[in-house]
Amino acid sequence: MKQAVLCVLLCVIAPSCWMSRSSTNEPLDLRLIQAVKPGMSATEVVRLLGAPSFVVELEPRKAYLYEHDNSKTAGLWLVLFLFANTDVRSDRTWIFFDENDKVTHIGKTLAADRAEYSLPWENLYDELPQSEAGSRK
Amino acid sequence: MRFQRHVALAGLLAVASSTACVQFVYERVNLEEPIRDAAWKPLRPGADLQQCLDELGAPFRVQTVTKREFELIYRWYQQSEWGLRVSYNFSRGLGVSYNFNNAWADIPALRLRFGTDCRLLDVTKGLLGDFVGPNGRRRELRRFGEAKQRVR
Repeated sequence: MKQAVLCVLLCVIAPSCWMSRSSTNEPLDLRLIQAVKPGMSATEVVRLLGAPSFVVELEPRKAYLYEHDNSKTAGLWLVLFLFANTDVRSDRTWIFFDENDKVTHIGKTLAADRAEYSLPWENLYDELPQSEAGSRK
Repeated sequence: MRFQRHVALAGLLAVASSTACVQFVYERVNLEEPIRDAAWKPLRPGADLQQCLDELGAPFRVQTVTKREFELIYRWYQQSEWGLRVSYNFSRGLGVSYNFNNAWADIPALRLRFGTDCRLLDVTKGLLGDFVGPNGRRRELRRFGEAKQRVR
């Protein structure tokens, strides 16, 4: 009897679940980012990583942004009730140049592949490893 | 009498929900991993830009304030909320829908201000709306709109 009830419940709930995923730009390649070193020219950086997503002028400096977003959504639709969760995380790298267009500083966060499917009552960030909880490297 | 009222109410809900014109929505949006206080509180004025980037990762935004200063802005957002969605189709191809829910709270953010020598001037924790101009805010709200749209 229990099995029959579970089976009916599964048949009712299963068609009302969905998952979707979307992303922006290509994922950033850690090896390529690590190849960028202070002193490199802007031309060399662009040759290595391609065109940046965004350029900020910080007179007399400038900074290039390379960015990739990953979004995962999971949901459950039970007639009157809709439960859904969207988790968006990014790979992001900022490269700072001096007035001679030479790299001075590099900041990176590679978190896009940590985006998860979950339901809204789950807290995804309670279980971050200690090394990731503070910094988003 | 009480039983009949319950049956009538259940019938009404069934009719409303069968056409999906009324829906209770519980949704959560997570945008980026939060920056814990333990990561930014040890940063002191005079810290080098590279040290800050190593501790906190890449910021959401880099912007100039004056010719002598620039800022790194970090932001993150985790919020769940209940809402009520009502929609109705008048005729084929013509319908309306409306969502009643709490306004999205403003977005927590962290601002690190640097001088031209790339040394940290100060760190402020606050709301994104206080740190970025109208263009940045519009861009951010559009991203939230897109994230919420994926749910629907």
